[in-house]
Amino acid sequence: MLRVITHHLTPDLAHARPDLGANDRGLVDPETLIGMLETFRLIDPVENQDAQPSIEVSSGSDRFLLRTLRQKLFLHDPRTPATEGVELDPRQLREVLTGASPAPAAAGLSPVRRQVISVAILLAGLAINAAVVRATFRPIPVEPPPTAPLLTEPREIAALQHSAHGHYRTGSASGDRALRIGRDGRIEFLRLTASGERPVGSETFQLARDGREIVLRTGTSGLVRVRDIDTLLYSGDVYRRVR
Amino acid sequence: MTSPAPKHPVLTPWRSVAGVVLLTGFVALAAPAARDAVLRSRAREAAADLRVFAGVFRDQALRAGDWPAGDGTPAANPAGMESLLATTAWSTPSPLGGHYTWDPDAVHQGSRHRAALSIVTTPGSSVSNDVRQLAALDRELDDGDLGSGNFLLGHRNHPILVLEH
Repeated sequence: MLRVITHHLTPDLAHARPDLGANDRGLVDPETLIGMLETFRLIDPVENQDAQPSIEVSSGSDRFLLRTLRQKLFLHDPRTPATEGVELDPRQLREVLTGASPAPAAAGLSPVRRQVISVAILLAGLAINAAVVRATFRPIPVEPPPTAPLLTEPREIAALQHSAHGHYRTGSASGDRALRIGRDGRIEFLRLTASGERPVGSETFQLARDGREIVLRTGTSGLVRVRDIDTLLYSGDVYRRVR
Repeated sequence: MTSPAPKHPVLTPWRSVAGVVLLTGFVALAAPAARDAVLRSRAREAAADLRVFAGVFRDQALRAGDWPAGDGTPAANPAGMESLLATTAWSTPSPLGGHYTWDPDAVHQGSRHRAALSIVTTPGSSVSNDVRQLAALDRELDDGDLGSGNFLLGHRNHPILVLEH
């Protein structure tokens, strides 16, 4: 025998109304219930949509929730009534109600999980497009970032910094360029003027090796190439040591 | 067949996927176009400034018989040109960042130019080093080639407009 409770249904199960509450039908045998469900299945679709009627069936530890749509019966898990139900044909329904076979698991995802997945897809899509926009607007530098590997041996670095230290110029006339390389890993860019040297900018540098050549890698000002102890090459100009 | 759900949700996974596909298609077309429009707009603005400055400096050179002296100090007014440059964008940051400067007789990438205008990085304002931006400015002003003509890359790849080689 099955315990049956109807929700929003008239006693004959032929009509559904939202104002009708729960109706405990007590214990019903499976065959009688199958007959009742036949009537329930044919309920008016408008009434069905408005009242959202259901039939709760329990047998021992098993509980089912039955709904109808377009003259078909659907089995729901009463613990998650909003989840998608499983359509049952009459043979399956008989087997489930008589205990001949277990209730099939509800297919698909719950509406809440669907919403979560939908929002997650949208957020992922937004993040991807934001990254695309960022990459599109990222500047392409005139000079590619230097890739010469940095020196790592401290004694070699100290020795090279000592020998590179000094003051270099492209010439001695106004308009010529100068570089001042410090032992502290700092390089200063200067321009010669009628009244002396005017600072143009400064940066830190790190010593690196580009093939066989020692270079000074700056952060944003490119590479200064050390041709020999008295000669540097930078930004297309040759600088010679003056001090 | 789907079961009787109480309502049809506005958002479903398939609708989200469709939305993302549409958005991605739109972004793929619109983002490069927007970027190019921004680069062109900045280039036009900077080109207009440089043409005005070039005219002012040429006029001064004709009046004085020689180009004005200068030492490349950003936004500095050469002697006697304060009033001439006061009504221009000379002292404001350039649309490409940095500031304009008068840089006569300066060495740039192996060459010395008698008269040149430059846009240089200043504290807090770095001039763009984006090759697309600089190329756009070159197309507005010169031959579209940063290695030839009168608009070139100078010292530290700062852009220069040569008025006299």
